[in-house]
Amino acid sequence: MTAAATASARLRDAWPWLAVVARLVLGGVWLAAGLSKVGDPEASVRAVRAYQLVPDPLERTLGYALPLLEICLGVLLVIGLAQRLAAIASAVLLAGFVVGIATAWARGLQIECGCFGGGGAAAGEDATAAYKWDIARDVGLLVLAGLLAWRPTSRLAVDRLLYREERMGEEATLR
Amino acid sequence: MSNRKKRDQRQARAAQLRRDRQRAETRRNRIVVGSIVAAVVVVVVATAVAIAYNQQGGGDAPSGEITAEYGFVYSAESIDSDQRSEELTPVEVVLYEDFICPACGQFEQQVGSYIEEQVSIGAISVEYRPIAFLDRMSTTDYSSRAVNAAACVFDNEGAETFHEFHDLLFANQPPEGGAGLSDDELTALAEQAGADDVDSCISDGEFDGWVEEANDSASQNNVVSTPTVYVAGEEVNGAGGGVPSLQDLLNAVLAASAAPGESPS
Repeated sequence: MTAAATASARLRDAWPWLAVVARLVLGGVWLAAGLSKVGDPEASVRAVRAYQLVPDPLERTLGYALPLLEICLGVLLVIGLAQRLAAIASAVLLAGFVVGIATAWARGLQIECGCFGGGGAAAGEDATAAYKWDIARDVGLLVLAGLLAWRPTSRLAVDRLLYREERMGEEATLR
Repeated sequence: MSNRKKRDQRQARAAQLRRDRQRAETRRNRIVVGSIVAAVVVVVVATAVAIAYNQQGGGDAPSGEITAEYGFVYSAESIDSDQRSEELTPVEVVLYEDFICPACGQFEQQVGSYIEEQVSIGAISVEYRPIAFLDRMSTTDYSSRAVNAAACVFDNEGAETFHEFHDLLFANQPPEGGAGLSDDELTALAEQAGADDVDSCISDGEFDGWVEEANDSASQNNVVSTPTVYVAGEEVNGAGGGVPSLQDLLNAVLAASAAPGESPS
């Protein structure tokens, strides 16, 4: 076996555990984001509105729906239920956020991302500085979500209790 | 020998069958679990959205001169000022403020006495549009409770007492992150301003629904932060797009009174 092949085999063996870490990071961020907003949905509507991106009725819908959707995804990822579905939905949502923030930046809006509560006008002049980090964070999470959607096999997951074959045939699916 | 071979074949076939069945079962389970999870998520989110559409404000507006934009008009006319000069056409000033917002507190500290003086002679009129964008900055939704209290005072006593109460709220502004002023403390300040009968209005949150509508109206007017200041329909900003100073306000008022006739709707 070449060194590269050994390394890739090792990565394959480690992936089910790395996937746990990825799940907890992504799920944890969703929970933090959702829980910080769910108590004040009107503020969430205002944060969506500040992007001036979607028509009025959709602003209300998104404002109320997003925090709960984030909490649902967070729970699913942390307990490891319907992982592929949750990972795909996460990726779609994150891609949407990246587009939202990027266009706010491009249109010269001075707003907070409102990702973890708050939103609306940015305090001071560091709105553009914050956009960079918001986008970097969301792209990083997007990569995690993509990996999880691609290889949803992970340890410590409810999915493993539900699908016996997954455990038995781990060898086969990982190869 | 031949028998053993047959038995092995049988066993292999049975094992294959078991595996196939299991695989089919897993696939079925996956679809079932995925559908259930998706359905639960959709129901939860749809419920939230349904709430969104059923919870849009509602409730009575305070009595008295309330504008269509949820503003309280404080003018020489509305307080029946005896220093009013008939020659002056008041320049219209609009203030969006949140009672817990520190920048609003600092702004009020600077402009408070100027506003009082200019309103009394009729040089300006102020439309206060108090809003509650910062409920998350207190543990008790202080912003909303304070706007409701202000509406109670206006409803009961009119513009002059409202203005007094408004100034008292900023003079006694609680810090962000705490519990804010209690309903009893709000009632005490209202009494200090001259409103004696607002106790139950404040504790019952009589205008809570109206306050929510006011928030929504402000946000639809693209107000994203407080204070937001308009003079004669033009937004006034401070240096670097920040909060305007007294000087910024003064300049804007002077410019507007030099070029009258462009008052906003």
